[in-house]
Amino acid sequence: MTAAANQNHSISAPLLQLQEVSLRYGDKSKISFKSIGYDKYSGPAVDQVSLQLAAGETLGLVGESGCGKSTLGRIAAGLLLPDSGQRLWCGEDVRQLDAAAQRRARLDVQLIFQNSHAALNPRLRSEQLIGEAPVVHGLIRASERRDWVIQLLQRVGLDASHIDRYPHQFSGGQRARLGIARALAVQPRLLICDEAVAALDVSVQAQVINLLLSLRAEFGLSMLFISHDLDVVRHLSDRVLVMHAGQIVESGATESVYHQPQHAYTRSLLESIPRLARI
Amino acid sequence: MSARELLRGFQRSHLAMAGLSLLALLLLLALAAGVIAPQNPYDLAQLDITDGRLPPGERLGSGALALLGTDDQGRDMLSAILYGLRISLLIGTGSTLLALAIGLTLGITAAWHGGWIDALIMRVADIQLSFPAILIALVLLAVFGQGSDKILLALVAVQWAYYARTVRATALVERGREYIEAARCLALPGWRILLWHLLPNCLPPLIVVATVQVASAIALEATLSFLGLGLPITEPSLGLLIANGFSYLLSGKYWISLFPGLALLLLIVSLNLVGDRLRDLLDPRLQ
Repeated sequence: MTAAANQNHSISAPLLQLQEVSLRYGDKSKISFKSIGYDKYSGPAVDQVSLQLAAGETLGLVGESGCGKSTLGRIAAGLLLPDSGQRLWCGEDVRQLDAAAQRRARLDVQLIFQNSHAALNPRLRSEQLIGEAPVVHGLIRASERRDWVIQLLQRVGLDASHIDRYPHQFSGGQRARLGIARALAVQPRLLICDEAVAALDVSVQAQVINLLLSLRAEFGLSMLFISHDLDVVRHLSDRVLVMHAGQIVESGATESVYHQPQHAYTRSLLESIPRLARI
Repeated sequence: MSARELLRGFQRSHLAMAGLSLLALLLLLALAAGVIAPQNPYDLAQLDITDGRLPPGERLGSGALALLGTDDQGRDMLSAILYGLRISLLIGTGSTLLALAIGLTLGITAAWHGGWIDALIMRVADIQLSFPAILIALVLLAVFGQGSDKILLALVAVQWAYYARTVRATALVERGREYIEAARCLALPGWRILLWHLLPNCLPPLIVVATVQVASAIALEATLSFLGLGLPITEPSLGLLIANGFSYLLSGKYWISLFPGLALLLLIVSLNLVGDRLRDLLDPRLQ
């Protein structure tokens, strides 16, 4: 399989490919950064999941809580190493690349977190929060940091005056924007949104989703949008994957999955959406 | 956070400002002890045993005023307190800072690496903490002998485990939070995540522990001196001065213990006020 993947290494290779990845929890030696507390994702294993994501595509990943969506998202982000199976970025195994290419490949995929409060270091002001990584990686010079951060803040709908604020001085919606700005700062190609809007109230949700849509168009971003909210996923995605108990049970173009669900689990998921009765 | 911002933060709280001023005053007195003290209590030639146990306000044989009285050796209490303040502060803060540095390094290393390094460091800390502090210090002093440097080392040996444990517990919680994951995702170097992201978020509980520990280090030093294993009686710390007057308390010669006790009280209270405010200011979430 590896040989085939390497031959496929061409412009036509999908941006991200997961080939039959599996992850069981409980075996700490398999955790990629064992020094970091990933043992908290004690959900069920990801079981033999394959997926492809083309450049510019938005892929929705739906499923109930605990089905392994977040774990799959972190495997896709390269933060967790699967027990078996392969993760290919632009047709290549990132771990085989040289240091510079590896770093670029890591920066190319950024996570947007559900809990925007815990996802932002409480001791850093916006300027360092957003500007640290681009300076460390030499994307910008330290002297350009402030301007760079102001640009990003304005792009995500925050004010230039917010640059010296700490995370706790922002509202939930603003913190979500701050998290998006931090990801954008390293010029990624793929955003993995892990329940990115789930914690926000509905009107703010809509604003943040519209922001993501406009950023997607402007920067040609690909997105893996993980959510339990079927309506949000439908609104955003080109294709949808339905996950249940660690496996992908159904995949296809968004409208066909929503109109003609093939799998019984998808049908029950769709039927569980509360609707207003017709008057 | 700059020093100026910190000072401004202090000014917003009258109590903290009072604590800071008091601490500054005590520090100044301790530093200037050699200049402002009427007598050098370390110079045995200046002491006269016939001046012993004079009540406050009496004059020594030499004619000098003993504002706070004298102890049984004929030492001017005011001078002894100023010099004692200096020793107590030096030993208390010195041992705390040293223990803090060692405990912080070991604790955060344990939390970051996990595995056998974590197990080794924390089991040593457990063993250390299972003995009474006084016992460990006694053994060390019995082996190494007396002197302020030895007692400093003994206090460090007793204290580091508290910091290691506190820091590890905090670091374990903090490293599991999403902002560390985000830093990983941003491909920041491990040492940078450790020093710039993890460490600052582990400091607030340590600052609180440290302020309490300065006080307890001073108290432990006094205990050791009282037991005859700490500082020699010729170079008394505050704790030793209190211990000296202890046997005279019931005979009405209160000043030998009372005034060093008051000085110790003021020192500890001011340290705690400053530490408390510092914790609030260093944690943006509490502002």
